Amino acid sequence: MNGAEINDLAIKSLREPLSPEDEKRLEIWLRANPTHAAQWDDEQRLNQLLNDLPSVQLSSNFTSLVLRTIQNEPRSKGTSTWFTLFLAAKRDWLRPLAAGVGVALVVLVVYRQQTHWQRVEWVESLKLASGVATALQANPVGATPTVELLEDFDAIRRLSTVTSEPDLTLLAVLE
Amino acid sequence: MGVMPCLDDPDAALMTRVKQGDTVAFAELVEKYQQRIANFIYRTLPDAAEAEDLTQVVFVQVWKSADRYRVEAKFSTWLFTIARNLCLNEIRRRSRHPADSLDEATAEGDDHPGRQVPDRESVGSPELLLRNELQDKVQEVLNTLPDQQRTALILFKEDDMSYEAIAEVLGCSLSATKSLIHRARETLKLKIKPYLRTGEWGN
Repeated sequence: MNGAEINDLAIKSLREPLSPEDEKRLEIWLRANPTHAAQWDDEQRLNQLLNDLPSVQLSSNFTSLVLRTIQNEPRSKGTSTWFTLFLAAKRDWLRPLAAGVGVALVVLVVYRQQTHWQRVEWVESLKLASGVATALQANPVGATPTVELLEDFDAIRRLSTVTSEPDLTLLAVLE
Repeated sequence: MGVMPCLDDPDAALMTRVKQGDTVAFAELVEKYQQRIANFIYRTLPDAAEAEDLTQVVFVQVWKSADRYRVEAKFSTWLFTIARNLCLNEIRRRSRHPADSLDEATAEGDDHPGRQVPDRESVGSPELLLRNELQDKVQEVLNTLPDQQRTALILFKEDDMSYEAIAEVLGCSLSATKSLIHRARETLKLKIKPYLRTGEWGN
């Protein structure tokens, strides 16, 4: 036996008498470690003090008082909504699953919103660029690109990546 | 949702009836647990009158929240969790309004008939007086323990709860629970050492 086991025995003996086996082991241990006898006595006295603590005396009609009180108390309604089920599912699979679905939904909404705004910006840039291109075609010398277009590097970069294939297709259709 | 009731817990079956509004089953649970809950509260808030009031509040809360009880959970764990939370609320309320008592707080609408308190043991002999004084002292020391330590020790001692159930009430791990009980005992031993060694309280 070691110190931890003695502690366990002391705690165990707080609410039930030690088994004959435990008593025997303890006796052997105390014989081998007589200096710990006083420590064990302290444990036993502490247990005695705790066990001697008085119980609170309740009214003899306590149950009827409670029953009378509950007659006037409204009860919470049954918990059948998904939200309350989610709250109740402390250790079930439902809570992590619901949390995962929630996170996925948030990510999806954010992604869609971001894609939408990217498209809007792209369309605006292309409109600006096409306006300048039209002006240059009408008056190649006088029409100069606006400052906004020159500042809009993204639009210029995108123009260089557009292939001529859609234009050629369109021409073929027109012809 | 098909949930299996806690098979080794007959109280869960009673709670299933309570959920359907069965007051007989509810009365059975009140009878069974009133003393344990009252003692638990009394050890936490050492005031006999308020312990009874708060015990009543615990059972009223059980009735009101019966629909939230999950039958797969052990009833006593759920019950003591309610009791502990109410005690903590009461401790917080007292720290905010030290002069108020629960009696005053619940006086309105108190149309119940008077309580029938049984005669208490009359204490007259020096031995009994000494014993009572010692018990008060131990209770006083118990009150100085941190809440978690005190609750763990009380639940272990008074209510024969398993370490697992205590851990659930306290919301901590099994090893933390064992450690709390051990530390509570160590602190108690240290503070009541004069008595432990001499058999008398040394001031």
